[in-house]
Amino acid sequence: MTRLAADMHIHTVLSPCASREMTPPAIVREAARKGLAVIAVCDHNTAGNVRAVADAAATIENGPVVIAGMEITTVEEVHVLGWFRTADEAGAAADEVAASLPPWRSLAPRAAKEPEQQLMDAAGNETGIERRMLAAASRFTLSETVELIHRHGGLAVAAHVDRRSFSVPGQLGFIPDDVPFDGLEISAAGAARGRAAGFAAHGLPLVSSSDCHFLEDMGTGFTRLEVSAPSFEEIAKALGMVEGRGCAIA
Amino acid sequence: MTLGNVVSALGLEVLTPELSVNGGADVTRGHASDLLSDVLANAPTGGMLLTIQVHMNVVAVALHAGLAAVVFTQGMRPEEMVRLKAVQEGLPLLASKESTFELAGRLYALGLRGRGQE
Repeated sequence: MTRLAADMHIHTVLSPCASREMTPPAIVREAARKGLAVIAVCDHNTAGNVRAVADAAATIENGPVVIAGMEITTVEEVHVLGWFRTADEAGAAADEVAASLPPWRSLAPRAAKEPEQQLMDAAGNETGIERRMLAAASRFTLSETVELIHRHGGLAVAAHVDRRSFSVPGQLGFIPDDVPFDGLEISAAGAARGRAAGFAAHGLPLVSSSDCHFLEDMGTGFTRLEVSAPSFEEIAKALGMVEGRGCAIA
Repeated sequence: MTLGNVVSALGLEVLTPELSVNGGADVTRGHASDLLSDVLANAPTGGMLLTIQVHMNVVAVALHAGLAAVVFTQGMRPEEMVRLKAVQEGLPLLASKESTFELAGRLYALGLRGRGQE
């Protein structure tokens, strides 16, 4: 068993709110520089850049293992992280989410008139523009979202539960006990302020991530994984606290 | 004004006919919000909640905040599970096709007020 640092909530240039510096090669270089063994690419309502980041990681020394993920916005405007075994499974789940998103609409007069939701290849070249509104809410309820993630073999984690915005407690007042989450994510700021303890009573594994939209924020929040290898299967065991695997907030 | 008076005056649909909307305390306050954390923190006790939030948690939050009733606006309707839970807990659920803005204005015109400033 080995201890690995994992930052499992990273946005790329495909997320409308992320910095344009979040390209696949820049992300994996930053992860390697900061000693992150595992990262998960979790753009809003899409898994379109997952493969590019994984391919970029494979081309560099000490590149991180890249987990295919997505940050789904439920109809209640709750953010839920989905981590998947393969890019194909993440893609299949993302297709269902995308079908329920509205087309692009400029959010403010001074915001970009055209979407800057860039699809990229492993070298960071733009290969397309996503024209659905990724910042919008999907049509899936919280329960349906967790079911969707599980149906595609993934792990469902309630995102940044310590924050007021777009969190289960923020939108719904409290964490319902009939939604089968696989874990709760504490924000980097919340973990630093010791907010994780308040969520221990739910009996769910706690993880922390940076939720970075800028390179410099990567790794500010991370989870220590006790696993035999940096793989999806091992992470699933770590969240389940089985076979000697485990996870803890750093 | 009783809840029943408000229901008649605004033509609200009663989603929980199992529960009486008459005979309770007068309703004098209201709150409009879709964020249940805000409802928990700010909705006035004994008031009505106007919301498009139909998640099951709305029932527990309304009970915790001691609300008289929940009005789902803009044609939003909760699932049957939510309705049954509300009946079981004695929380009247109402519905309207009008927007939250329109209904809040009409409730204000009837004399209801918000939580007030602190």
